[in-house]
Amino acid sequence: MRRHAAERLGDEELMILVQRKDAQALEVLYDRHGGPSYSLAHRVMGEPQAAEDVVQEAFISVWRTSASYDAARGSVRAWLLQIVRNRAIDVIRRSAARPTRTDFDDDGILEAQEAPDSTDAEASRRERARVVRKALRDLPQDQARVIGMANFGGFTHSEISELLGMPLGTVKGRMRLGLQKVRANIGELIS
Amino acid sequence: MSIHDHEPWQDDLAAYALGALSDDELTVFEAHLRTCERCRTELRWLEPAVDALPASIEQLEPPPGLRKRLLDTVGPEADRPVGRDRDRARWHVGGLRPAFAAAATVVALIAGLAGGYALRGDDERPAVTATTTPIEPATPAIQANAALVRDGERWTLDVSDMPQPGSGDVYQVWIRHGDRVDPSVLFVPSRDERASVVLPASMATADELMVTREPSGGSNEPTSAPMLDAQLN
Repeated sequence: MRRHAAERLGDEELMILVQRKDAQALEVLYDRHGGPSYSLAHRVMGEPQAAEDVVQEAFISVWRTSASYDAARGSVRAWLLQIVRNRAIDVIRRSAARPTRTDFDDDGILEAQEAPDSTDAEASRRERARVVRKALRDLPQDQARVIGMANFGGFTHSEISELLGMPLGTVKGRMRLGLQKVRANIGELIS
Repeated sequence: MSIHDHEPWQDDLAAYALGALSDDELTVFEAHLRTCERCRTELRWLEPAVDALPASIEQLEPPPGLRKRLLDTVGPEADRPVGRDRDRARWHVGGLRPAFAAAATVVALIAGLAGGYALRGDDERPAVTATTTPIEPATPAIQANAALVRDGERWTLDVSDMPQPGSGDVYQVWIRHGDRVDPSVLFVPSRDERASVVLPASMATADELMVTREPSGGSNEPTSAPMLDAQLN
């Protein structure tokens, strides 16, 4: 398939082509979602080279195991970002010199900068990002911190308990309350 | 399950959705999840919040070299039907039998809906025999459900209740024609243990379909006993 034809397809249609080993389809998917993927990997890994490696491995994994995508379970974008996040966390958890930063509720989340948009889809994503950031900003800091440490830091709740010096039950409760609030605040946007 | 039985699990739900359970906790919680509709319902409600979190972070421009490296890697693999790579060694049935023999505790799921295995959309091939083995010999047999679906020339393998292979592994489909077995697509079930796998058109004339657990990236020859084996004639 030619590039301009692939660009007109939706993500789910591109995934069918990727399953058939159409490199143009993967290229278009990368151009649409490579930026968010790299941003997420950079957020988790904390440095550019490791983030690049994670994104490359994730997209190659998509190329070779694309049949695992299930459209009934959510968007291609969410699926891709989950793969990137899981791969980054795997790398961090296997690392002997694992960082112990706990500042995942910092301004990097709360005051994120968006690239200029040129399409309706980008405008929609910016609005989505704005709503999600507001949902996180509205959380009590202790809830935002445990969610950030789990999601972007790859820490288990037991590790968070140890790092922050608080009972495991407290960490679990804050995770649950915080995530429920985020879900409630983004409700209509997501559905 | 009463609400009191359910309460102790509720605080683990968010940790599970955020990927914050340890491996041991994960195993225990997922066993509970399979039996608890209340938890599954709450999890389905929470998951969009987790999916949305990456939208909150600063958006960076990936280095241009990353795109080139990715495309250079996939380019040589492009535009060839999966499992038909000419440089891949053919795997013959004779090499398969030891793997079958090594399988511990084979649980037979016999053809038809009653056995948990369905074949739909193909009037010419109504009978299917499927066998499945436990992921780990020490665990109870996995009663994975599988359906081979034909829609015109499109073949799909739908699986449910099939645990993720873990440890970076994948499941790989193998397709047999006569005495020749070809490696085919790779897949990893989603967290709710489901997958829908599009199969190559050569399925139309296949004699057998198998699924094995393989290292990331798949294998040229199977390295484990089949988890699922469907005789197609």
